[in-house]
Amino acid sequence: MEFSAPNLSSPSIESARLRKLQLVGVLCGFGAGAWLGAAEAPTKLVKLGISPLVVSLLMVAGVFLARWSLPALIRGTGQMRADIQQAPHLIVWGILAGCLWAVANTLTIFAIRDIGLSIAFPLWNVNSLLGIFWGYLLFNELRDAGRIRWLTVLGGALLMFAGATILAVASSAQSPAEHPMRGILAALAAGVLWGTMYVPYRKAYLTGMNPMSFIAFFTIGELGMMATLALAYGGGPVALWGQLAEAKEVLFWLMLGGFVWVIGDLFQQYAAKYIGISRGIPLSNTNQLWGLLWGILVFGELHGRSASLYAQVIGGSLLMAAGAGAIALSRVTGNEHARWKQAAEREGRRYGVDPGYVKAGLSGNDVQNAVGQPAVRSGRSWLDWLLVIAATAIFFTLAALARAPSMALNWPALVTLSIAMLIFLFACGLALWRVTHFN
Amino acid sequence: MLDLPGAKLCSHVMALTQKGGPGVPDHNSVHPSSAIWTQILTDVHFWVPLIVLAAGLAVLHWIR
Repeated sequence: MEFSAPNLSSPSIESARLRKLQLVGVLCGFGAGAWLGAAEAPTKLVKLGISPLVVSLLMVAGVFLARWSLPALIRGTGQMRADIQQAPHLIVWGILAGCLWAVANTLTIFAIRDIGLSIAFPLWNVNSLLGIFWGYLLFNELRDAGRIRWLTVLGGALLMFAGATILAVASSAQSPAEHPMRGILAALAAGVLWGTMYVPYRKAYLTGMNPMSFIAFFTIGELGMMATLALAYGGGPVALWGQLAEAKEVLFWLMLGGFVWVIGDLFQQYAAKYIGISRGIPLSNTNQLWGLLWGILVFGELHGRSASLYAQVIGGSLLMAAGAGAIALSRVTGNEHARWKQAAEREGRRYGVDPGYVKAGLSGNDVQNAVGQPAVRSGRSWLDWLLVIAATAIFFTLAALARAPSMALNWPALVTLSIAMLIFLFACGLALWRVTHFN
Repeated sequence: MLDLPGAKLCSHVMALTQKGGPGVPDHNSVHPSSAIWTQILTDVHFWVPLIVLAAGLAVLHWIR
């Protein structure tokens, strides 16, 4: 049976609505940067002698808990079931994206161990260049965008590349690590994996899926891949269990890192949905600056190094941030948005997704109303509360077992950065609720 | 079909692996499950991430 082409062009999303969605997307991109930057801080514990694979596995376990409990708390799992009814094929892309994330995250742990947080960050943030490439090639992003916007995005991308190069040179010349080249390779490979991970993201959001539904399946691939890696490279189940038992005092901190990452990733997903991956990824890559702040201010990285090294690292980071800013200011025009809709039509035709569902998802409206189905009950079910209570109980139990790592931390800086993150959380959450009700 | 949330969710996942039948939702009846898999396996959006994933695993194996 041939599926009729969804008519997404008429009526189009009104320009005022489009502008609001873009503002929300930009805000979410910056919020993602703040939270994703903070999430990498616990990986500093690798230097305390814990295997990178165990660190990554524990972060993923935290991510798994957060990714099932947060959506249950915010939206209820009933909404997730409605999304899967409409587009079951996206389960495959969710799992694939999760596998990509798990491998990339493990590579970043090796990178941080070998070249340090403040240097590794900008290297894997070259994922934004790849995101622009995939966005253009596969999803019609930046098509018919006009010369100015092309120049802004490409110029921004070149600035980011220049910044990353400066930082790479600084790392190879100054890093105290035994294997700087291995660290650089690990960071760059992570960037490629993360840049490609946005292909499934964009596919899901063009089709209309809610980010909170997508991430639930994402996390299955993530935990499955990470558990496989940990078992394969960790010497089998007995050896892995032994390592986990030895790390019990820092389990909480690593899983907390995963939890913080999920909040940042949620914002990143909304950014990818409303402003596309070619703009959303560079914005969320401001996490590099937050990583730099955590590394230098809280953990004392680069302490005692030469002023010229500081100038290189800060200059390179600012260059990358300027590039990201330029890309962010490249607003999506009506013509370009029409090309997005063509890509969405293509997805709808290919997989037989209801046109109303696709259109409602693109405009951040209630999907159930759009497809003529009764609204899914917005209240929480017993399953939702069970998920929230179980996740909370696990975190409290691990917190009781936890011991603060014996590292020198700058507590005033830590508190200040935490307050800044909470401000972003409040602002992004409020904007999403007002404009989309998390649709 | 059972009316439990978990059962409903499982039935939707099963829709990817079974050809119709009782209890399988018909929201995507325009594309039976085998046709969905054909679409997935002929979709460049599926192969690009899969190849990159394989390359990433190779790098990880080499540097670890």
